[in-house]
Amino acid sequence: MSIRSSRVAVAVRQLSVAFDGRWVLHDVSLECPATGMTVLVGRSGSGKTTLLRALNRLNETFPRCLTTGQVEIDLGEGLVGVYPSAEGEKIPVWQLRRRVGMVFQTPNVLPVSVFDNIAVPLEVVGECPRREVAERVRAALVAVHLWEEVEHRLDADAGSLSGGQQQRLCLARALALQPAVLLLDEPTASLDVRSSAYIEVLLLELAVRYPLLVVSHNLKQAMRLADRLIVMEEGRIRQDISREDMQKADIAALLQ
Amino acid sequence: MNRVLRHAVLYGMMWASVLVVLGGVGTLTGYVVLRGAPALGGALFFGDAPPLAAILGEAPVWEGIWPACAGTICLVGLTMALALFPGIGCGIYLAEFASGAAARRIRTALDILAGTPSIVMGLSGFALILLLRRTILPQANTSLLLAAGCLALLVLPVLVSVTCEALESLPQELRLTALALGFTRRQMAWKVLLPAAGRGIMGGVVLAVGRAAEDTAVIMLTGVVANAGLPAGISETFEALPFTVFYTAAQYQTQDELMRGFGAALVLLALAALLLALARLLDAGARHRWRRGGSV
Repeated sequence: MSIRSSRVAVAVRQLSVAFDGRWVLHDVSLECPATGMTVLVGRSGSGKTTLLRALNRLNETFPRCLTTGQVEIDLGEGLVGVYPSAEGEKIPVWQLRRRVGMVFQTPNVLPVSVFDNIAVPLEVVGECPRREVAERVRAALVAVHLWEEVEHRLDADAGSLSGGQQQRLCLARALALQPAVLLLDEPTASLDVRSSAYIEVLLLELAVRYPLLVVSHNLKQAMRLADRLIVMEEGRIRQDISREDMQKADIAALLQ
Repeated sequence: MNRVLRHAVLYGMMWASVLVVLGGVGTLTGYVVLRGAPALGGALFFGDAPPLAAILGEAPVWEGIWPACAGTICLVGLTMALALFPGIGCGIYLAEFASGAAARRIRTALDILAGTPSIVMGLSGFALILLLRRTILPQANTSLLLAAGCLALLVLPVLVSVTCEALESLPQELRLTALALGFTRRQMAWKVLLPAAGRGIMGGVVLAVGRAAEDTAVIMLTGVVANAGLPAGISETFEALPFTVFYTAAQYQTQDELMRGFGAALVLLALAALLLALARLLDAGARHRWRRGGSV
């Protein structure tokens, strides 16, 4: 079953990224539809994470990073360029990051309670009215099937949750800010098999509503999840395989 | 054989060093406790005055250290009121916002301040009063406010560096997470990093309180006197525990007075130990929190 839509949510155009004068991404171009899961695979150092972090301009938080090319994202009113350019208007970086949800490899909960992990970003970044916060926290936790597990311990330290629960909390935190795109950087790499399976089911559910870009370290997982598989090598896209072609292509060979 | 001998000598020296430290600390505290403990009691604090009336300031205390305790509490309170805001504020700026060149300049200034002997700090306060008296404020005098101001300068470097270290020791992932969520740098500093570093900063505050409570050189030149009674206001002179210890040791006339001096020393030692323990506890709590958080 393919759930790809024709509308473009993310367009990467001739993107190159360098750290300390060393180019990590070379002239990458890519388009992602408004729903469905695009999975990036490749060996470590192939530029998957850098590509992901280029979409919310997170690479810039590292010293001596240089980015050329453009990324356009649909934040609700058509595609807009996220990097400053001569023509188009520039959107503030915090506004971009607010609408581009990101989940990291290790569950990065904030050192506060379960409730505050979602409520603080909602209030501070999402400018959510105080009376709506509790309801939106609940809705986000329900969306990641965490509500029933934490309903009675919302005041507990988020660090006391299991790894899988923490990762779902991070996902809920991203969802609460009503993202236009979701970026996931090896979201199951630090989890056990059962928690990973749970997250995978969740991602398939989310892919119906959001455009998802997922970096995966696991080829089998990538094949299970992907509506489209991007194989990266040395900072370039080596193969762009649709769901229909995935069975035919010898992907394992591509990753050798 | 030669190697075994060398090993034994090194080992022996190591143990001797440990014994010197432990012996030194043990002798010092043992001596103060032994001489001070018999003096402990209501009479040490309030002399002949009824305790409740003395605490409320209704009865004067002639032969007790209560006015000195009250003076130290006021002095420390005022010092922290003056030092907390600039100390923590400067620490946050240094850790989160300062550019390389600005940070280097501020750090140099802090190093100079931290390296200034406390007697010099006291002298500059005294010189300030002399200057004020000769120019715009002839009635200016050494006082609680002046002493607290000079002490605030003394503890400022501690507060700045502890705040800075507490923020810098937070895991990098926390910053990345906050930035990825769309926090601006200022929102990140206030809403995420500062609460996370709170316990570490509290530890530094307690250390600064201890430093302000035990310093003698600064206050000697800036407002402390032997017989001021309870502190009457920020522009008045005052008594303080460390100065009481110093004064009694130098000027005692009766055995009772000497006993009171030892009592005061013991109270001061207990206060310092308590503050240090509190700082350790807060610090350990902060570390524990991060280990449990599972951040890489």
